[in-house]
Amino acid sequence: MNKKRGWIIVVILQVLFLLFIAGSYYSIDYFGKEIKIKTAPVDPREILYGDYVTLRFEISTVSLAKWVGDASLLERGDRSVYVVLSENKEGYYVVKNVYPNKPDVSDEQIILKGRAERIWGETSDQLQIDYGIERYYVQENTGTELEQQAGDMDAFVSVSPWGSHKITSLKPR
Amino acid sequence: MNQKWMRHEGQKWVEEKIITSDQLDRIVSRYSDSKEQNKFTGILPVLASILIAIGILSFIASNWGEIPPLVRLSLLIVIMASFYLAGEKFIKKGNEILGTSLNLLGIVTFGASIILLGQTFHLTAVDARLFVFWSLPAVYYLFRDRHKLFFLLLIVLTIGGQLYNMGEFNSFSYLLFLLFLISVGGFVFLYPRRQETLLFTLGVSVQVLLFIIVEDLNLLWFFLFGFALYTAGLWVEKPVFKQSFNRIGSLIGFGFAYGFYFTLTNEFTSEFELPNAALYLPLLMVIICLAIIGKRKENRFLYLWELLIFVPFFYLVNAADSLMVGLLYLVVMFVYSGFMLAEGYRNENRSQINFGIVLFLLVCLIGYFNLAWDFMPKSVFFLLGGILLFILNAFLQRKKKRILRNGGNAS
Repeated sequence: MNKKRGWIIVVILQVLFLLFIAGSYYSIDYFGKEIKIKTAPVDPREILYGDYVTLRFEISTVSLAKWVGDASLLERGDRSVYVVLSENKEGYYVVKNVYPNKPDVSDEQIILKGRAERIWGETSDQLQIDYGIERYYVQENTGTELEQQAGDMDAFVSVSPWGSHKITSLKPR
Repeated sequence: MNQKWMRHEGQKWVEEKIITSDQLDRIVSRYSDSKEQNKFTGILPVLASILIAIGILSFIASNWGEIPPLVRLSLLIVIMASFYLAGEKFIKKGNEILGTSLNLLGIVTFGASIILLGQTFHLTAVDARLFVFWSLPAVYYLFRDRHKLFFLLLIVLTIGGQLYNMGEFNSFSYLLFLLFLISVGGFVFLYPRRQETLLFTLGVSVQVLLFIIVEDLNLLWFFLFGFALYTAGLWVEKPVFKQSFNRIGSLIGFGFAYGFYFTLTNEFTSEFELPNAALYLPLLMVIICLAIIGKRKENRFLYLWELLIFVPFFYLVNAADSLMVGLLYLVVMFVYSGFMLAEGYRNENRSQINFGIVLFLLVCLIGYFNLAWDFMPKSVFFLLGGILLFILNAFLQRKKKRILRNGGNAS
């Protein structure tokens, strides 16, 4: 690499990377399909990021019976899983099955990628699934307001054909 | 050192007829003041640029909520690019310090931008990938400018990333570790410098320790790592690696002896767990053999005492009372640091003597602590302990001075 001009390429690559972060977010709007799920949030604080509300969804805890695959795969820590969702009569998307590898699904079903961990519940064993959308950033000091009404909310999540997803809005039910 | 001081010192040499005043002039003129002055006045613009950066960032942070996402993106890009641009300009002009620190600010802004954009776009980090991307420009500038600042930044980013990864996700980032080995390791391999190599070795050791903690392995694996590091020091060719590996490896071994002494002489020995023997013992054997062969290869068979700290006495807890094993470790530490001191005195090696003094004082301190803590009134305990250490230190330092009077090996 040319020593005198090399730094320009490096700077351009960094700019492109930042643009890519923004672009991947906006592109979900254009290509994604919007689904509705139920929530239940809380509000801690983290050092690296600013203020945000931690969300929990109805689809975050799943009965172990819906796991399609070897149970031993879940023994060590968390692992990535593919969650197949389908719409119920009320218009909410609920978990149909959870797979260790990407399954083929029909057009009405949606696949969300997440990380699952097995937890031992009181009555039955469950899967705790993180979808990477558990943090909803809000302006400083407005998180509590959202938190109070957030036990009962509808989260609208946009899912792109290539699997990335984001929350487009939160609305009181 | 400046010219004034040099002339003052040199005057004495002229008076003692070691050099002539003409020679003094020529010596002094070799060390021009200009570079030193540059160093001091050079710091001012650096401070100025840092203040400006803080100003911009705090302005953005306080008005962050009102700025629309796309404007935030462009603002961050403009700020980052201008840091790099200005940095390059100053480096071209020959103002290396200012240019380098501006480039450094550019890298910091890049990382801050990723974090701020992640927040804007509700992205959640799932691993330490952020720190990997953040490190990449630092790697580029490190190999281009070979400046120490980038080296330090890379170490901070790697260790910081691993700590973040551990705290948030309770996992170890292999990618970050690999990046560290390739970039920082490659750098010290290509451009061996003592301090940098020591930092690299420390960085590797810290990450191995974090890995062992995250994976919930037996801590004794770290002991094995220390031993392996020490042994690697015997086998590598490059002198800088030899010394750092030897030092850090020995320190880990000594730290373990210290820890064994404390745990074994206290009550909670029942929790003392040995690692999986089928895997641990063969590896230990291999390393012991390699170490002995390495010693022999270097023709330093006499220095076999250095291996004393790595002898796995902790296996004796199966056969003997753990209190006795603990006390054995105290004896081992005494003997080890004593040998280290004696060796340093014989070689007139300043750093070895200093290392030995520190180790020896540490051993004395814990020996005294455990022996006297229970039956002495606390005020007398601390008073006597302080006086004891003071006298011991004075004695050792005097001995060091006497031995090093005729020069001695500085390294």
